[in-house]
Amino acid sequence: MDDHKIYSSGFTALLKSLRLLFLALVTTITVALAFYLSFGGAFTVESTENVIVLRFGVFQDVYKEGWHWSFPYPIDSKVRVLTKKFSLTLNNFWYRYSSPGFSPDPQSNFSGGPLVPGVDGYLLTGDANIIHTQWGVEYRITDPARFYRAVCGQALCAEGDGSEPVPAVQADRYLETEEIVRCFLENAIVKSTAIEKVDTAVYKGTKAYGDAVKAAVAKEIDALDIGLTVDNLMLKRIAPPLDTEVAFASVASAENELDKLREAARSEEVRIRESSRARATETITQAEAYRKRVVSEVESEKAYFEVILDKCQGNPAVLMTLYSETLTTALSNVKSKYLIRSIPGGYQELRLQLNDANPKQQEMEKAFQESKR
Amino acid sequence: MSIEHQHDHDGLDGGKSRRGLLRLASLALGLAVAAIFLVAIFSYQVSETEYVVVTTFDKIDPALPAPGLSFRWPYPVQKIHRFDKRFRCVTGSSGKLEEASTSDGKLIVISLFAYYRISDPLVFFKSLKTVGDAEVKVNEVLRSAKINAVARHGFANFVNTNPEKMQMGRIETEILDEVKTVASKQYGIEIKCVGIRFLGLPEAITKSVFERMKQERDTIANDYRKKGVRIADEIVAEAEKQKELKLAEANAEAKRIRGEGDAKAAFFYAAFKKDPGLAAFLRKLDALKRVLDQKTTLILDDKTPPFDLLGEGYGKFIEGTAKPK
Repeated sequence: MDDHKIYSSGFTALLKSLRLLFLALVTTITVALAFYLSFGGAFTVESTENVIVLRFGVFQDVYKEGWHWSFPYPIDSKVRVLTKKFSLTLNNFWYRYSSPGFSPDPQSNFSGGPLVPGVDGYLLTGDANIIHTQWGVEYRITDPARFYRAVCGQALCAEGDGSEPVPAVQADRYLETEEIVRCFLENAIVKSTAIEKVDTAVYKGTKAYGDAVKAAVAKEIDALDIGLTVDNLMLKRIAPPLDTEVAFASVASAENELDKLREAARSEEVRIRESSRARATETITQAEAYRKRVVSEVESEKAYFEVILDKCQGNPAVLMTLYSETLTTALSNVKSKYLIRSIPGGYQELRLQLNDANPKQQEMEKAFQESKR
Repeated sequence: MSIEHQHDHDGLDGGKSRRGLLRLASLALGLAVAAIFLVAIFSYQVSETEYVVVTTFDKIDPALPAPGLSFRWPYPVQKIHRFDKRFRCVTGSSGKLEEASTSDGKLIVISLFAYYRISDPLVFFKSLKTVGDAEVKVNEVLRSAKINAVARHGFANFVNTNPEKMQMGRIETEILDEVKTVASKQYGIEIKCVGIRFLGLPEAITKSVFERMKQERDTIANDYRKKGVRIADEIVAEAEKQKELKLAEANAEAKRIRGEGDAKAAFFYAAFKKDPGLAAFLRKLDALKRVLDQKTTLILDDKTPPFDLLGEGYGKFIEGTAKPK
């Protein structure tokens, strides 16, 4: 006898459908498991990140850019670590640092006055002066495995009563990282500034001051050994307190004046040097010209003398002729000549109008002559 | 048995084996799913970045499980308490802006941070339980150590242009030494380093600092101006001095050259010794030509040659000369 003849047809149909349902369920579960085990473990890694795979919480490997597969959760956990460059701006040492950006809080209208700890940021220099600074730092996670082991992320620090560690909200870890970088950066800045003079930091050695801070913070971060590297540190702004800006400006102005005075003195020095060189050259040139002239004059005089002497010795009238000619030439050059007949033993009064080349006198005479016509 | 019965019998046997296989597969699947659920309920993972403290009926298990998969009794028999073992920073909220007095009586404001982690989870769990509690305790011990350390040092140890006298690193180490033992033994916390985040002055004192800075700047500015004038004067004075030296050297050289010329000329003058009177006469004639020019007014006696021709004596002379002999 067949078993199915024992049950009613309805019940048989029910059994059949239940069997089919069970089959469907088993198939679904099998497919789901297969899908989960195969595709559930697949993951891609972007170029700006690394993925750390943990098996039951134990570090396995670090995966770089590309497509990868590992067992799905809860066997393997994947932790993504960003390897891109992070930037941080430090305004804690600027007045009214609680405001965003670089400028003082525009709503506060801060125009000077005493600095309030907790509201105004500033630094003390080695000579007990006050300065304000703003900094920018760039850093990267260079060793993701070390970073993951070293730095706590807030999401992973939550306590549980047995719940499995969920894949972390990655952003929280970076907040913690930023806080660590900020603390050590502030420490390096405070210590480096505490040995600087205010003039060196603000004016004369600003670059060296920034470099000293950069070296100090890089050293401290490296010493932490958390797989993080500081790429760049920039001193964005540095200024004395607002209340002293005018005084500092006057120092800069005085220094400019000093430079200008020095430059003017140097120019004057060059001018004096050139002028003295020119005068010295002229003096020597004149002396040499004198030497040549004197020698040549005397030499020519000597030659002339010897010629005249020779001629005179044969003919004394030569001298007379020479005398007359000289007199003629000389007297013809003289414009005004007065010949006075001398009276031996007598007294003569002579009145002469000298300097008859006076232009005004000539005009008057000319006018007189014209009026006579 | 008839063929129909054989076929029926064979069909029944095939169906039975298929159903058997199906049942076996279903059983295996069911067992696998059950195993997964059992593992999920009776195990837990420990990450290598955390400590786990297990309590059984609220009694602490002293053994700390190693990283990986571990067995447990399900809640509420056993409870799992996780603590991240990695480093973090606490910047301190209490006493952050509190003034502290240095050994030389100066008031300063110091803000600290501590780089710490949980090192002994059992002690931590017994004393604190949460990270929030830990940070409060760390702040308290830091605050106390800070006040003590500041009181041991003068202001010049905090800021000094002489790097050897600036002792901030040493002060941080003193604070660390004071807090790390307490933190470790009482709270299971390892404080790796302590640092100064902010060093400042009370608000009222900043005002007097500004006044001092302004006075210093004024003094420096005046010094620069005076220095500028002094340097300029020095440069010009030096240049004038060099100029005088140069001109003196040039004059000396010029004298020497003129002397050479005169000496050479003197050699030629020796020829004039043949007839000094003639030489003098010729010089006078030459001088006469040079001296008399258009601007000269000459007043002569009528006996001066050749104007003596205008006198009576020469009329007689001409008459005497014109007479035949």
